[in-house]
Amino acid sequence: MKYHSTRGRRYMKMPGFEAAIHDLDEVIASPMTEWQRPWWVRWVDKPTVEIDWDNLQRFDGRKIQQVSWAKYVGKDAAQRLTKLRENRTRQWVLENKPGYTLRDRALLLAGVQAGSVSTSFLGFWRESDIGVKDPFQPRPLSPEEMGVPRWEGSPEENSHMIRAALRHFGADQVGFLELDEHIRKLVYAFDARDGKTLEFENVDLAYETEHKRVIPNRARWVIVFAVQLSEELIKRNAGKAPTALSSSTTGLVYARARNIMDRLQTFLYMLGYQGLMGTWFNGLAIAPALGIMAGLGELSRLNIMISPEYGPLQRVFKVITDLPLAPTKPIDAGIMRFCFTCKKCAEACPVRALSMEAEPSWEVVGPWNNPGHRAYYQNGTKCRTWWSVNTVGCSTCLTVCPFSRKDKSFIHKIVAPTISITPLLNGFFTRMHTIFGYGTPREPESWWDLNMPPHGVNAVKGTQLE
Amino acid sequence: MWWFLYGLIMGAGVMYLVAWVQSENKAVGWYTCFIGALALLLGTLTAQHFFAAYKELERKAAWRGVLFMGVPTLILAGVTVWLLLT
Repeated sequence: MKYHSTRGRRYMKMPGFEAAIHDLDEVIASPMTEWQRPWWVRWVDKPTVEIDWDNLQRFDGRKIQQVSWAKYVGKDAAQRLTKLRENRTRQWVLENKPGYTLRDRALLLAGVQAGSVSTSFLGFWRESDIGVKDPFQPRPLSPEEMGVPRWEGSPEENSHMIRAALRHFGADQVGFLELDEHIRKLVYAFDARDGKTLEFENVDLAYETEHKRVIPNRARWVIVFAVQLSEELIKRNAGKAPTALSSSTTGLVYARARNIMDRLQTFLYMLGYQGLMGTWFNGLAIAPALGIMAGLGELSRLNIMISPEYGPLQRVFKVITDLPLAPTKPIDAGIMRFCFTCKKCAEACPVRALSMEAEPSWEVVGPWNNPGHRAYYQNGTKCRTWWSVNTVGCSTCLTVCPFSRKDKSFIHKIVAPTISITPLLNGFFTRMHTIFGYGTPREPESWWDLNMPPHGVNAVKGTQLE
Repeated sequence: MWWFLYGLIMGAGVMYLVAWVQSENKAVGWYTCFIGALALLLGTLTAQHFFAAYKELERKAAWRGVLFMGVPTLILAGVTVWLLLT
């Protein structure tokens, strides 16, 4: 990147001056300059460790202790120590030693040995050993395989534990549902990707055949979680049209979520429970519906979930389990009511696929809608057709939503509770959102010059560290 | 850190103002104090919004905030000064 140009500045053609400008260009364009470090960190020519480059040779990677440890300590000692490790692992789990309990061990190995971007209904550890990521770490064992009792906790303790583990794996908000006769209606009758039936049976373990996936009746809980989208990235639209750049945050979120769900399945497997995942990101059950029932957010004019923390800038995922959990309740933060007057998403939709009606309706638009709830049903076919035309998918409605904003300014801390308490100012807030330019698309390529946090999201939002 | 410095400067400014009013033996009405406090509050909120929005890369929102809150702040501050001087 060039930060200035000397083109046309003939008076600058003096040799010394031009050299100085060139140096300045190099300093400004240096990767070190855009890397924001504390002022007291100095860039130096040599590292603070002394190196003798004349004597340094390329190293044989097989010599590292992780690989050749047995050779260094002796085969007998290695066998003895490996046995000691196994015995201590089991013993400390049995003793519930703080920091080495069954759930601590499960968290460790779900981090090391899981994290696929593929999906499995039953979980990779139920299917095979192919998921091993680090051959020098133990493979995840079920309590039965380890010879210890499975994890037992109250539903409240379990929910607390799952939320902590999921946050560690990369999830944002986490909620829980009991899979009662109502919530069962939100599980697909036929799985979205391959058309297998999803059935409930009175069996101990979930199983899968050529034509069906079976959820045991004892798997009576659903873990629902959100993963944030990057606001700065998703707003890199070309006018109302999405770009490959703006869509890349959505793609990454799905990959991250599959990774998180694989870790969650492994974690549950090590505790002695089942975790059942959709075999596709839109498989198994209607994710936004579960998110709304679990209190992650409210339904909206976008006909997807909007949460108080991230607005519509998230995707929702689910895992069914037989680990008893304490359900969370739905919420009312005035979001759905705000949509009654705000139509920014519907107006911005390039193909007019969203409802412009003042109030939600019981009438569906087409067979892609699931009737039985009063909603702003969208024209899904128009939306999906537009994806083919623009080549990348679309999230324009998400980007213009007044709930898609950051919230460092005091104004947002006043507006959000006000919307929750009264609808009186909703119209005014919608207008101010436009006037302040919050929904404005950013110049796409400028994203490459930003210095964003990991995944482009504010991970501390809604946490203890906020 | 910046808000700490801001508090120090504002505190010193208010103390200086009070000392000046006392030394000049000026009679200050409650409405002068009220308008002055309002100007200070609105000015603080304008600054908070401006820096927060700027940091969040919402440049347009930052400057619109200055327009909608900064201008009333200046008017209120001007009225306060006028009341103090007359």
